[in-house]
Amino acid sequence: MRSKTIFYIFIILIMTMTSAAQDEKLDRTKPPKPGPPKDVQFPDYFDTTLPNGINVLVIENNKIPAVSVRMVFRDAGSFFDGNNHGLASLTAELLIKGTMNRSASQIAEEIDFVGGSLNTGSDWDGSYISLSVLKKHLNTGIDLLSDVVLNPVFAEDEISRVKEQRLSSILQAKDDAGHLSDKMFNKVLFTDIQGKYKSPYGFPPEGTEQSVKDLTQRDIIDFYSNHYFPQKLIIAFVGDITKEEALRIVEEKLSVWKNNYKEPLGNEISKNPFNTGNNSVFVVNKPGAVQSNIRVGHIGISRNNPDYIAVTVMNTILGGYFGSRINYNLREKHGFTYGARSGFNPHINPGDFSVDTDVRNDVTDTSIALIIEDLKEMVKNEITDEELSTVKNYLTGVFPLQLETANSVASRVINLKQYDLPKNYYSTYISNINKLTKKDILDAAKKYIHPDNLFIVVSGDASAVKDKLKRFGEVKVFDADGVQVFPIKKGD
Amino acid sequence: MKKDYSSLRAASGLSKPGSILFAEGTLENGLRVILSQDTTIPSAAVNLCYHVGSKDESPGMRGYAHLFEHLMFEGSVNLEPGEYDSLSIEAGCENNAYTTEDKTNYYLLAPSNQLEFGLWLESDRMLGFAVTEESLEVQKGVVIEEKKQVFDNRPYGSVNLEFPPRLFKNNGYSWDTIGDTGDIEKAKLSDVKGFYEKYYIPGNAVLAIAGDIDIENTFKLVEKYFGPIKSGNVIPPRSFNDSPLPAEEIVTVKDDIQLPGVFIGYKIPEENSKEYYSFDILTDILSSGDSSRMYRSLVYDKQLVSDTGCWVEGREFSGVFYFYAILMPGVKLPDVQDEFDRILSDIIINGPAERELEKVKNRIETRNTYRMQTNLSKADMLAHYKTFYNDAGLVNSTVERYMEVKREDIMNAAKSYLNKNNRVILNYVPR
Repeated sequence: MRSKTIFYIFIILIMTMTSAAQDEKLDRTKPPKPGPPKDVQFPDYFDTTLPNGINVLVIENNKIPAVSVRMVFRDAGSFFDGNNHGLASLTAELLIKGTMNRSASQIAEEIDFVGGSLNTGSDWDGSYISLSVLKKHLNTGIDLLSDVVLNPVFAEDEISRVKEQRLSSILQAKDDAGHLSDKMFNKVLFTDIQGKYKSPYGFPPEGTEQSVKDLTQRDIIDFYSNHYFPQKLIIAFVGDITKEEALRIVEEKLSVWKNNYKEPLGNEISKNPFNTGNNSVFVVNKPGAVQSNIRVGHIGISRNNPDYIAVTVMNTILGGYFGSRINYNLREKHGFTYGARSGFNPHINPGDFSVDTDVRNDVTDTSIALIIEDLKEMVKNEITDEELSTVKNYLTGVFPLQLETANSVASRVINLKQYDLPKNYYSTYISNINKLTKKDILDAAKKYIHPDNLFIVVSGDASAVKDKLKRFGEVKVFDADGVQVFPIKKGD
Repeated sequence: MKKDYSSLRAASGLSKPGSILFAEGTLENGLRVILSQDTTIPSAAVNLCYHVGSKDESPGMRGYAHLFEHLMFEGSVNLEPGEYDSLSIEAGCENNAYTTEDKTNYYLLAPSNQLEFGLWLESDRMLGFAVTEESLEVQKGVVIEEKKQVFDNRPYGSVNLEFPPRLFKNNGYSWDTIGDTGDIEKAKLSDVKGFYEKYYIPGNAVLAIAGDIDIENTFKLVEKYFGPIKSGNVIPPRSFNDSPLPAEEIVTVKDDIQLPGVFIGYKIPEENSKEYYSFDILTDILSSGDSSRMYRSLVYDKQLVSDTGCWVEGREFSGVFYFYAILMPGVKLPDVQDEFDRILSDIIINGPAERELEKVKNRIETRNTYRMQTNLSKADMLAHYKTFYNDAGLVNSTVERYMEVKREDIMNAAKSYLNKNNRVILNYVPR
């Protein structure tokens, strides 16, 4: 639908109205009743697959005269890094650092000149390129976008520049407590110290100091040729663009791209059983830290798990929003933290589940104990009727906010395709939430939360917190590089 | 209520696509109200901006404005502690707030059938003070942890604590909004009550609502819930005393960091001044995008830094122009400072190229287009411009102020303000 044209005027017109307020007696003690809810429809979109395998999506919305084009390469995520940690991410970053037709500087100058943006990135589940321009500059944007996708050159000097930048940011990340916790948490969840099982999720997608140094131009060129295929490409046109315009662009620019798809080399994900957490504690030592950054959790679920909506609702009550049990307990009741949350981090394969917070040093163990109590309560008793109705109202009420911008709608449509979710997922989302019972929530908690088999990671001042953490299980201390630090015994 | 529909009604021949339409009015108690309709989604942003920030504090009460932002969620005349949040969640709303040097801004994103609920909820907080001792103690703890998380326990996080007392002397910009832990710990209920009664009054606030609303009906509802609130004592016009910096100040700060960083701040004129627009454009020329001057030189060509940026903070009385860079391993601080100074002096002497100016103006056009997208962004801007300039229409006209900026304006502004005597340099080095 076309939004109405907006006008602006200079005529001044001042009116005085009598107040309506004095007539009625205002009762402020109770909230006013809501009006009838308005129906919220997930917007229509166009979805087709071309002969060379490209999946084209068009999410048309004329509210503002701008267009975004988002490309998702489904087989080009960090999951396929193998032992070259950081490879997917560096390859994506280098796409815009030079093509057969343009230098890195020319690409930057051209996109900046039209006030647009052209960004690349990657995560576990894919690599991404996104273009954002005003409609009147779409042609410039498309020329650049197709050039960087089809003709990247991965020049040696650009590779070395990007590698140096990456090494610097890996070094810098060692200062960040949250980053240190995430890294340790993923390592203990998805690999084991003995190296018996290893999932790609156990390694940093940005790479390690060694892996980044070792990456060669050959690795990067090979990754590009083995993982960027039309058959595994989703391209979404978003905003002020019709499906005819979008299809013409794809026809002109991307139909030349032959479908040369090869099944990527398997990166078998080994199952890390839940019983390995055992509430053991991993401390990343940050001497002098005035807070402890905490992760408590274990392996979670994949994005297309059929219980995903029940798990989302369950987690919202547990720690998914400001009014959640965990945030209430740690922040509003005790004032231990600025905030605490829990979340499932789903990927194509099961990702992590964790409770995250930063608390002052002297309440580190108390906070962890409170978190574990909340987890135990979640799997033991049904939530209350009030909690269920509140969370349903909340999730229903905020759903339209997720449809406010064309890009936000597009993210959801891309999700459907990237994670092979049913086409009616979002159109039935609200009704599926409202179908859930207290028993469904308890079942989801029992199935997906394991309070006796947690991994506990604390990034903070080990000398201040370590002894009190022994109440949960064995405590191991590591330095910022992830190397275990053993206590010096007297007499050694 | 006096209402002004002048910016709402369409008039033929004067159309201007891309503008935000709004109506405005003032209640008898002084509350200014701005309404803007957008039916994209069945939701509305209710944004209430109080003209009070950390600048209005004095030594001994540093951090009160922000502490008060937390306390506003801890109960009001008809709401028990915690009820603001629990009821708003139950009604399917999102809410939050933020505090700056100059304002404290609260918002609620409500499904449009819950608009009246939202007005009931917000008006209750303006109706009277009802914070308990217990809530005050808990929120002091939360704020102190917020300070640790955001400033103390974060690499380079103390920058925002180090700059204010050096850039500003003896005025409300001499400390950061987070305030002082000692002052916060000492806050008594009577102190915060005094703060509330002085500043949380209708005449010191602007209510902007943007979204799926009926303008006439919403005016009536606003009158119903906010109309009966007592007007309170008028706040006298604010004065601002500041003295120029005596000389360049260079400070070394030791921190738990791997890589040195340099942070530079210059005092510049206030938001919405002619110079402000020139400086905002200059920061884009210097650091927006990979083709910007700082990125090209410091990051790409010379590889001195891994990360760099420039921005302006426009404030009610005095703005600040900031530059920062995080160094690559092995690089020395003076090399980065020298290159930064060279780039700036090139701007002052030779000015930006016309093409650079055009590039940045294109970027501003894009930015201006995108910020029309959400109800919250619109309501926030409308309330901001009304609060500080008594002109919500700036939401549509600032883009023209940017387009008017010429090369010479940027050169003159840079020459007048970006000189060594007007700056503070913080050199962050590993402990």
